[in-house]
Amino acid sequence: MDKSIEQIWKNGFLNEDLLIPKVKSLYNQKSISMVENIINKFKKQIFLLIPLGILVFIFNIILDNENAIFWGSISAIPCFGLFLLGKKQLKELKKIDYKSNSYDYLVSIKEHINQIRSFNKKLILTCVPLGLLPMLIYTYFNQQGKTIGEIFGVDGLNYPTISIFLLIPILTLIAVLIFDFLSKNKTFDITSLIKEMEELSPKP
Amino acid sequence: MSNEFFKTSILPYSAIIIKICRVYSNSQQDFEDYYQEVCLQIWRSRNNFKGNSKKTTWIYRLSLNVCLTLLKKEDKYRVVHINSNNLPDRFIEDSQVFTDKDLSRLYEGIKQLSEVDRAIITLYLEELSYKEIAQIIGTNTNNIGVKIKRIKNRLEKILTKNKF
Repeated sequence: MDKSIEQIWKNGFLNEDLLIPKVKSLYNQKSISMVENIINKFKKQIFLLIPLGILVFIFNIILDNENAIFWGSISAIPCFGLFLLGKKQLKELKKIDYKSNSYDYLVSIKEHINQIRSFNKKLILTCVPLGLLPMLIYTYFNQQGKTIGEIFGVDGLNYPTISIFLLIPILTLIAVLIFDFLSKNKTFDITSLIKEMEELSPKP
Repeated sequence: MSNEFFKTSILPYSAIIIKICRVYSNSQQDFEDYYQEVCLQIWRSRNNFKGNSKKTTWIYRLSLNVCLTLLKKEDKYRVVHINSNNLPDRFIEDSQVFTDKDLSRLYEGIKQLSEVDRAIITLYLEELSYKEIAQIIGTNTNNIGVKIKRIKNRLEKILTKNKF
């Protein structure tokens, strides 16, 4: 070699005019990938409802309860209903076009996800009590005079039959807590990115 | 990123960032993406610099980390392993070539080294001390000298081979 690598480096950069690339479209690809990722996760969750519905149905058959097919179908129907609802929500989410800039796009997506979340939460708050009520009324009239412990086969729960209706707020609360846990981080990445964009450029 | 931040915290170190990003990128598009990501990471980590090391050392470390992370992400999605020896000439974009032919050849040689070796030789050529290189790479200072000697030998072989 005519010159050592050290000389090539040193002399090369002395003569070289390093062009600094312009920082542009910083978040375009990032925001699109992030939204795609959220949509894919959402899609997976929705499609999990189908095997879940089938499993619930099979589980009822395996337990060999009285009217297993009827109760299996009743239990599986909410899963299939949620699947159809989720598909509709997903379609609406996909409809959101990339706006003129990443910031507007992310804000629209975030708002839409929050709307879906708020709707689903209201749905839980309404449907869980409404779904439980007929079953509990049926149990109440069929098991009158028995304690809760006797109905569920658990020792020590010597509460009157009427207290079975306490299951409505308890199970609704559990359902809401599970829903909150599963959906709380859904927009975390988007929120962080929006915050960062606002800090980088006060008026995007 | 405010203009003030760009002027004081990015611009003075742009040469460092450009040199590192060029070592890890194969196209102008990649290079620009890497550069932007490093700038963004400097801005994000602006409060993490505590002054325990020189600012340049911190910038080198951060730039290398960002480039290596991006490279790993790309590898994850790359189905076919591309060896630079097998690449057709047209793959190397003109915009990635320096006006200084020797420097261009040296860069192409460096790009044929492993990811860590690329980092070590770049830092060595940037005249960082063995201690600083070891700090940035996260290894023992004693190993650096031997490692650099080996990388230089390998690089010289590549350059001699590529010359003809």
